[in-house]
Amino acid sequence: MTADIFTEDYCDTLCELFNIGMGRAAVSLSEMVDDEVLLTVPSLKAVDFNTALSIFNTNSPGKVNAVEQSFEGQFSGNAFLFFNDESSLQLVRSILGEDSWSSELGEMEQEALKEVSNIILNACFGCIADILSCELESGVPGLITGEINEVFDIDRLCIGDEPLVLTLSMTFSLPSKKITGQVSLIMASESIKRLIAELERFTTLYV
Amino acid sequence: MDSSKSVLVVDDSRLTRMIITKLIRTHFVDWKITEAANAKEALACVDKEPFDFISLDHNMPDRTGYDILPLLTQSQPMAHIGIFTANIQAVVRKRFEDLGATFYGKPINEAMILRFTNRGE
Repeated sequence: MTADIFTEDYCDTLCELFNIGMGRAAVSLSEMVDDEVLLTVPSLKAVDFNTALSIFNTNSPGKVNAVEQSFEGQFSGNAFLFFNDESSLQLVRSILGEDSWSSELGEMEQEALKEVSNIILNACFGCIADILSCELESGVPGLITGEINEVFDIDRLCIGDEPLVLTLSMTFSLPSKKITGQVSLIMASESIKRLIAELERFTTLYV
Repeated sequence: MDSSKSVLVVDDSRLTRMIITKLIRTHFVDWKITEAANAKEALACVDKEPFDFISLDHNMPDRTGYDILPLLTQSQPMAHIGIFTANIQAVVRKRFEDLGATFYGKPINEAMILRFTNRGE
């Protein structure tokens, strides 16, 4: 399986579904922090694993806090929500209140970050599942702190023998609170094939 | 609603342009539909011909729908402009409504398209 299996039309369809999903997620986040959330245009690439690492390293250089959540159903994968240290703390303070002035992510801050990520990722993927008439079950969110290579540990991710990776990225930000986050998606080859089948079924409705 | 109308569909997603076009054609076979894949194309289209309806996306790669809405309104004061966007935050909706546009949150469905196309009648 090569990257060109994921054609421009599939990219367009998945980007738009992701755009709608993140729009829903932005409403949830906006309500939590009482501020407007700015969203970028989503970008999507189907690449090999090393190229994916390089893309993520460019998008999120240095140490990151990544909340990882698996999803399973007609297709499966792992969704990641990245924040740098400052954004993580600012986000937690926005939700827990300004009294929370810890200079690092303690246990409570980590729990808060996981929960807000859980809400964002579920809003996004729940919406995509609804549109595609699929059922996606999400796993328990986990927080990984470290360099991108540690977050995307190929052995832990279990992405199979043909590690073609779908990197789907969209950045959201709250300018007044200096918070920037990025949602990314990583899927193995077999699952990408199943996703393509779902996208084909969906787009046929409108041809 | 027998007289033929013209519609400009502005969205960077081909899928969304297909959905809007298909839903309009389902009800209005004779309507002329023009597609624009970004803000630049949209501005070029409104310079060339008049439209009765313009569906406008917000989050596009070159300029946002909010950026070009005043230009579209100025160029086509008679057109009914509907914003079709995934960014459904209340503050975003209000910003567009303050400029006189009607706001529709994605995903797009048939009822939305019927409301949008009946507005200009």
